[in-house]
Amino acid sequence: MEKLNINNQDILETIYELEKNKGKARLTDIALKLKFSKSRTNQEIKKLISMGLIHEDKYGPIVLTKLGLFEAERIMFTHLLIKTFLKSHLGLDEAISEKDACAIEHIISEETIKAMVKHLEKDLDNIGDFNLTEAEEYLVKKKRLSELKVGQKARILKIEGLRSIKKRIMEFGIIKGEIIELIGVAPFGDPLSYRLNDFNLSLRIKEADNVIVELIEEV
Amino acid sequence: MDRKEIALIGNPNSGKTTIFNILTGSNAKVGNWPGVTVEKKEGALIGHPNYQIVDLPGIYSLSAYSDDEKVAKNNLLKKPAIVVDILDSSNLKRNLYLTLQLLEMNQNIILGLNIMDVALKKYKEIKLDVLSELLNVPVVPLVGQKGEGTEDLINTIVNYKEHETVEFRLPYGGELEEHLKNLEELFAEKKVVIAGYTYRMLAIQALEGDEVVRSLLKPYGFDDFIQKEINHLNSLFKDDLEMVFIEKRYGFIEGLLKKMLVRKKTIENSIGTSDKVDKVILNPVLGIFIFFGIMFALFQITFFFGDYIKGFLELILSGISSIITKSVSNDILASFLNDGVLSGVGTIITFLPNLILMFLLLTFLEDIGYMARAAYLMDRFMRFFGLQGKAFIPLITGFGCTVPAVMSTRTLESKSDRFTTIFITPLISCSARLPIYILFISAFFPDNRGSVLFFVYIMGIVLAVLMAKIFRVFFFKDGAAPFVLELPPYRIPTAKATFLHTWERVKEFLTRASTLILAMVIIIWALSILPLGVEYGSADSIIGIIGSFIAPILSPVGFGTYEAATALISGIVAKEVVVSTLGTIYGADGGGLVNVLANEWTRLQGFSFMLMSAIYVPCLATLATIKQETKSWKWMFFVIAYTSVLGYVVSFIVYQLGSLLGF
Repeated sequence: MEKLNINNQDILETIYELEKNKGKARLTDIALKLKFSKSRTNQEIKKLISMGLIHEDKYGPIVLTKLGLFEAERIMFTHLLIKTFLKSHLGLDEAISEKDACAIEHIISEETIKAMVKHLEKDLDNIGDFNLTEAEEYLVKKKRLSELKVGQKARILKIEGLRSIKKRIMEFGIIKGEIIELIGVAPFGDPLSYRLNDFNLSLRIKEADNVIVELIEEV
Repeated sequence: MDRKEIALIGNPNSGKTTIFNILTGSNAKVGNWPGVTVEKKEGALIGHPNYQIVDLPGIYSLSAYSDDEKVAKNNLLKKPAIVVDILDSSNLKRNLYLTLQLLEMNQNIILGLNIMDVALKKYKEIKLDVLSELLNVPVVPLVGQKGEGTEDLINTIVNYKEHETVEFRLPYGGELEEHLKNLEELFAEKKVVIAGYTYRMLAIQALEGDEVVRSLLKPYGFDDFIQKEINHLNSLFKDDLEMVFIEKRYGFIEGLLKKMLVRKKTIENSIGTSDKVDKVILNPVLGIFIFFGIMFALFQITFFFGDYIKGFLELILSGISSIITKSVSNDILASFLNDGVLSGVGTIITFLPNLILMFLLLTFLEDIGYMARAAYLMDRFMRFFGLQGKAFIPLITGFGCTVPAVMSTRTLESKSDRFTTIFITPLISCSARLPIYILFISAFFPDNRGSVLFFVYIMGIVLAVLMAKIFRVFFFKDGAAPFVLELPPYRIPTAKATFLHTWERVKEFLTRASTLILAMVIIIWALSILPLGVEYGSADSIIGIIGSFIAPILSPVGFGTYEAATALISGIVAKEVVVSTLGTIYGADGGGLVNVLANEWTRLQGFSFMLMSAIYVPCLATLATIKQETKSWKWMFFVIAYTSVLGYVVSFIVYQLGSLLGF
């Protein structure tokens, strides 16, 4: 997947919050909340549409696609995790934790997230109503198929994206519950090759992006 | 006895072609399905001439997205007497998906479980009788490569009795099954009759949103009702309904496999040979080196080795030509035989060594499983061209000869990829254009030979990239076709299969393209010799008159002379003829011609002419091949038109800009 930049992440997060609090997200509200100009917001929205993360009907509200929702939830959980960590372990107050979490969430590495999760696990009484298990699920286990590392195995959870592409890859056997392993990356980083059941196949990153999987730990 | 049509179907890489060759004893007729460029092969069942085997395209499902799938589906709707479904037994799960779709199309099926030898190493036991019983179809184990089980398959075909079978009904369960039944009852009630479809098929495909079925049902007025059903079920399953069908089918297959496969107790965790090889072949760094190594070898063998044979053939032809000149006293007849027939036959024959070697090697690479890997390795790079990985091979072959390059586009499945590649391949400078470049570079750029030559080649590549993008935007917009590519296990093909496959291709070239090439060469000959009495190709011949007529049009690009125009026209026969025509007209050759040109033309004129000859209309053999591969005169004339315009535009810009800058 193309790495989401700070603006992409902020907009997804904002739409997510607007959908949750107001029921729908409109361009003006997003612009207002992020203090962006309307034309700039519009540009950013177009980028996210081309990435398949949001969907916009003419004159209608802006809606997260299922993939967009997945990304937004990841960002949200990252935010909450950092905030909880800052509050409970470093003893910072609510306002500072909130503000710093907003900044750190964009650049934090997977390794740090894992370390934070591990740390918080030892101290479950101190994290309030933060659902650590769910956060771990989203931040450590659930991935897009394109995000696997070579040798990692995962169970397929969901296939999203355009109907025609979705159907093609499902008929090939990429369906819910199957175990898939990334076995290689082509020169220039794309396409990727996977092992599925009894055969090997290759997918472009663009297609592998549509598949959400759950890492399985090697026994 | 009436003829029975037996359709052969299966996934790609299931070994279907080998089985087809065995069943027909390699007496296949190769043709095309009407209206599409999908290859059609058919032949009589060996020993049973009243059974006609039709090889359907290798496909993964019957979704009718690609041409291949449409061809297969339309043929199945005509209900062949028997459908022989070839499966890769070592990869049953995915292979059985197509089988289920065939069963749901109510076909008379025989299952050929191929590649049993590999499967038996993988599993402790494969209960074929269980599979046969559960699906209610005959099952025959096969090892196609060794010819094992094919006797049995032939017997099963010949003894197949069309019994009154109960229609296969995959139990979809729950709400979905209920809705299917309701639809079936509705169709029965309203007495729907659609040839080739049962009510069950109609119900399933209507709910899957199949456009053909939806439009077939429209006259009965169910459309709104069906849409309501789909919407209802979509919201019930919280997913597109057609995806639910796919999952249910795979669920059913999972159940089947549990009953019929006994897995080995110790799961062999060792990596298979194929994967070990892939560790090297598909390594991002090593893989590229190996790929270029293989391409280099392919190119060397095809062209250097091929050119030796070609030179030998040309020697024979020139021998025959001198015999004709000596023994035939009638000048016109001698000219017809030499410049018409012999030159035409010569054009065809001299392509053959390259073509045969090329196809032999490509077939081998395809059969062994390397082509899919090559596509995988080059995919990202080829996307600069707006093409996919497999298009690399035609383009690199184009540096040798455009004819085999155009023919090798067959490995591209999607029509848009294939046609775009066919159209841009002539822009890659083939080896026949080298003599022109050498002549003009010697005459005008004696001090910068290497860099000018390099520039001409690079220009061809750049133009190819540009045009590929343009064709993509204007003609072939279906760029969204997913790149789901199987990387099949490596398999050593039998020599017989490789030769057979190569021979089929060569035969096709000989029977189709060659007649067209011969006709075109004779037409050009007639234009060069008429009206009677003129010197061959002189200013008074028709071709010379056309040349003089075109010359003024070429003034803006720098060479509005009869000599240049005639050389370009005659160069359509074969590019290197440009040099010999200039030689004839100026009455000089070799170093003499270089001097004449250097004196008569300016450097800018020469440069402009050289670029024009690099781009304009491809040779007759290429045109005939394009006609054959696209199955359309329209596309052939399109290539003539666009290359002419492009050549004109490039030369115009170079000449006018050059003049302006005072070169």
